[in-house]
Amino acid sequence: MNKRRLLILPIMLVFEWIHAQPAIQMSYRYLRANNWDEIIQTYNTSRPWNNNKLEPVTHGVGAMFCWNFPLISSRSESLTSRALHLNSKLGYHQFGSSAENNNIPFKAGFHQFEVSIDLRTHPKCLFKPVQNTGALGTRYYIGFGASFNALMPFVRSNGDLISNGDGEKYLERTFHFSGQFNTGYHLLMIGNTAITVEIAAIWFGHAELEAFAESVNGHNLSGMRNESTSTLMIQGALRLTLLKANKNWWDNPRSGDKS
Amino acid sequence: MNRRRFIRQSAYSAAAALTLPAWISSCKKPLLFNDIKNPGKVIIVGAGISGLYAAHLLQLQGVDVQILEASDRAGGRIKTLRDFADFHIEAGAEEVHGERSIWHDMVVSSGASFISEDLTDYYFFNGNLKPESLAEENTFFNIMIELSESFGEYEGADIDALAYANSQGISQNVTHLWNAIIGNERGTSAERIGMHGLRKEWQKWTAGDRNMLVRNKGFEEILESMLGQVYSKIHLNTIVNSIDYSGQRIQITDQEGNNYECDKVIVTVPISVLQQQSIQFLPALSETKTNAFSKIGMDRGIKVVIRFSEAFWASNTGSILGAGPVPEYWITSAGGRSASDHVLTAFIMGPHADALASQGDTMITTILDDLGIMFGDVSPLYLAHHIEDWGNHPHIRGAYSYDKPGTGNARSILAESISGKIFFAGEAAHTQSHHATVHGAIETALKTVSEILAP
Repeated sequence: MNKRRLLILPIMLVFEWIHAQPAIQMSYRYLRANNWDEIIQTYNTSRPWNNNKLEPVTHGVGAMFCWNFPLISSRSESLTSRALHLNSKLGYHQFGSSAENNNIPFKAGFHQFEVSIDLRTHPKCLFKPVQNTGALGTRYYIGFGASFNALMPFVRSNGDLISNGDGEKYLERTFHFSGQFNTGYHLLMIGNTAITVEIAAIWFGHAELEAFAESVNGHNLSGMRNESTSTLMIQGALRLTLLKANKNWWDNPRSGDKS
Repeated sequence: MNRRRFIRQSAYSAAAALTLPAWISSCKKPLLFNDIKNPGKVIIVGAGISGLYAAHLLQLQGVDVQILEASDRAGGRIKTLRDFADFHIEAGAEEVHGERSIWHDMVVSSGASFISEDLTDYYFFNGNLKPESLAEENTFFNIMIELSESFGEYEGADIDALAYANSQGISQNVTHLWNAIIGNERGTSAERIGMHGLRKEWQKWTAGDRNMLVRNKGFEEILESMLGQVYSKIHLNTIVNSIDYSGQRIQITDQEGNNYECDKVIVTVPISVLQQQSIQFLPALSETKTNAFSKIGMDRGIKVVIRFSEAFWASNTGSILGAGPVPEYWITSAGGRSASDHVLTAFIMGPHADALASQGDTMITTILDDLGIMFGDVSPLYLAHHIEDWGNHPHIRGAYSYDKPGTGNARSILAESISGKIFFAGEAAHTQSHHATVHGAIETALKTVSEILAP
């Protein structure tokens, strides 16, 4: 790739940013990872006298701010009419589990902050041009992406955030990359907004759990079975997108919507 | 929507409706370990808190467990005096260190409550006893306190804490307070405790920062109510002589010549007992292991509990840090634990404890004289005392472990299991700076049980 092409890419991105469509997404995430569960199981096992056991940290809810860039669309027909969209997202999710024993509520979980990008397209678009792939591309899409995450475990005992030895609130941060595959469907359009449903699989190749183990159990002795893990999250999301361009599949669904 | 599409979508919906409950059910996660293996018979040597707790967890998992205790009582360094005053007095472990530990939760779950009154510590220096608020007006005192709270940033060699204080120019007027805060509270004196251990403690402590005293229950009572199910598994007065793990099964022999056979052993005896090689291991433990034992410190510790006819201290008094033979006192009856009995505890560790122990029972005179320097003659108010010298307990031989200069990773080596058969637990085996605490001992038991049950 020569220098001119390298220069074109950021210019294209800036140009596309101008045409970006902001969106807000509400999402639910299901966490599936044995070692995360073992931390909670350790907590429960270590306190056999507790009548109410702590459920494994499984459920997370949160929101993401998204910007959708039609990287290659029918508006740039000189390149191709195949739809390819870039999405950047800024998100927050909270996972938690709680139980009350001896009138002391106990809540354990973690905050997840993430910055992510993903590329979306329609499977058919990979092989042949699709017309009228405007602001949101095709009605049905698949995407691949990567995220940078900050995980901050927390424990609230009797309503108070627990503290470390220095008396400071315990919110040890760990940083991780994750990859994701998603697929979604633009459900309907109301005015200049589109509502989209999406499911995604998010994969952490490695997540350091020492901080989480410490926050929940008050310690993490080396040798315990919970130090690091690969983690899978399944996400269901509902997204509201503010449309800027009106050349979409719903303008001429018969010819444009190939999904 | 045409008919064909309607039928197809209805079929999809029906399939989803049938499979969804099964999928959700498969996502249900176990609340407790369910992938454990049966380790066979487990014998625990020592019925201190670590041994009792490990036995309790194993018993709940259906494991055949037995505890061999050398002394005539369970509890180890937890010992409650039930008749000395009109409330429970702890002759051993007394405070709950941190609100985020299994021990804290066990205490709360037993129905015990903590005293909530704000108590003030008093410091004796420059010839006067000063409450903390007045002491803080002294520059040298503040420098000493600031230094004691900055171990987390220490980057020097693993020297002793007294040498470190001298290198930082701490005034000789407050050196005894430094010794009380840094050394005595950790079971020794400032010249024996290592800076790297203090730094690690500062960095690794995760149990919370509150120190709590129980108002309405003794620790022994708490153990009995929470772990009482395992008391029937304890063989008291059983002094283990040898542990032979050379064969497929482990053979344990006690001093009376009785043999016990098992598949796993958890050794929870104090580090002092291991240092003195009171238990013979066959085959012998590696040199690395025995060297690790010797790198961990454990000194004599004495608690002298004294009852007076009236309180000669201010009503809000917590601890009193002195300059004489007793580095620290505290008011045991404070915080509403008793309205009528006035009880004070003298807490003496390390070289100070050795010096007092040499006086035998007459140490009470020395202690009353020491109090007299700070409060005037208190002898007329004296009623009774109890001396608990943990260095004299034949199966304990000290207070609790501490990090000497050069302790390094000795605790990790101590905590390593041998051949998957011999496991070590107890406060000294804690690798993350919760040693010298009840909750630390419990955590090592949990770790050991977790290892034993791991599939």
